[in-house]
Amino acid sequence: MRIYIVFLIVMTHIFVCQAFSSEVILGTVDTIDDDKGELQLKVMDSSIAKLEDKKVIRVKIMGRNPGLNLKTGDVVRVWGYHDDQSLGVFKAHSITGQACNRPNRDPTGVRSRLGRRSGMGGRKRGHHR
Amino acid sequence: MKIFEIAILIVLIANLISASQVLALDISMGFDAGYDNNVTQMPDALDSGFGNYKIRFAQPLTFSHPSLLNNLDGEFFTLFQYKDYFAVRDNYRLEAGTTFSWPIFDKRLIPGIMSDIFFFRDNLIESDSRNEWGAGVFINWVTGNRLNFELWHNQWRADYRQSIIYKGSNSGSGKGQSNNKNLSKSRYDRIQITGLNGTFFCSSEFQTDVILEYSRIQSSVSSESSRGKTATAVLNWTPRKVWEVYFQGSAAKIDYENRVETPYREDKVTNICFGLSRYFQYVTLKISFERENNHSSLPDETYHQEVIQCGFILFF
Repeated sequence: MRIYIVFLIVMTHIFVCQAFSSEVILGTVDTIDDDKGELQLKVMDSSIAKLEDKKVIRVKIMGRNPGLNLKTGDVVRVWGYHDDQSLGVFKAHSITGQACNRPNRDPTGVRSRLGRRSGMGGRKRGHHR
Repeated sequence: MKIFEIAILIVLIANLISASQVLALDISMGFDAGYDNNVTQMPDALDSGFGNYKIRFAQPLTFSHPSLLNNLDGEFFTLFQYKDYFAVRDNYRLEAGTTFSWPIFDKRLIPGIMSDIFFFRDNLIESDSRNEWGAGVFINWVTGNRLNFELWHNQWRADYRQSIIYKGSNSGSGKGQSNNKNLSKSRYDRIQITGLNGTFFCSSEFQTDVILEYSRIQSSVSSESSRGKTATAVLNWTPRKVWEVYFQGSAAKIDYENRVETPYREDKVTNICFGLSRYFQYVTLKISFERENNHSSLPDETYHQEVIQCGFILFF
């Protein structure tokens, strides 16, 4: 148990350090240009104050983003930084899917790990065993 | 009447499928091997190694017609799981279900419905074998650039295959005698679960979940009726999106319906879990460790359990 608490403290520390270390834009994919590695994003929300008035932003994808098959209309979180010198292009180092576009109600597997403890499935404790 | 309702349901599902753009069938097969130091979750622990075999078929559906069905997403799935304990008896389950969601307000809100049926057979504790079916509603709310909420409510019914045999007492025909004889009572549970999940996205690789759940079980056996409150926290780290490390801790308090004829029972369950996964294109390797403690006011319901397992999942 103590080892677990130490792990938890270390992880929480990393989380706090990581949080807010990069900017994020929440938006809907408008157009995709695979050749240029770019996409147009309709901005829904942004952590960058000066982008609050922008309705559409051009996103340049830096490097590859494994495991994400984007299509127009997807709601995504784009992580990176806003480069004023390159005409307002947002340089993305990572794009994460919203996980709500598909009705996958357990994207991180949390629910299945909870093991339907509330009474469903698996074993159930009780007097009548 | 029931046949009529089932027929309508079949026609409705057929219409939905025909109106949909059927995507490729997702098939996954998994195998885990591990060790469980308390299979039955009882004070006198029975330990055993185990093999866990799983196969899941999922048919995603998406509706692209310019109609009311536009943006409707759905999925049908079937899951079969067989758990083979080497030292004790095995169990298996079959589950099938469906989920539909309909994003609204620029996909900020995603309400949905779900339903599934569940068959569980246990050759070790045969009285746990049961059939369940139920339905639920949920709503996802994309609150902001770093925060999501999900609220859900599910209702289930569990029918146990074995009736409860207990000793009943009858006052004997006015002569002051009492006759004890075995009585049989069918066992079923009505389960209601309401939950809230908040997800905070710290960065592209770190996220944390907090889940609060309230459950109510109304059982035909009064001593099994309970109200439970569970709080869970999860830290999730996915470096380079090919690894996943998670830490999960939960605490639950379950108050059983206490009556004069039943002993007082209150359970406090704590659970911690640590897991590591490595994702490849068609394979996921994983290892996990889980520890659970239940401190019950009834000594014969108090237990301690540790499970360690490793395995893989193949995706087709």
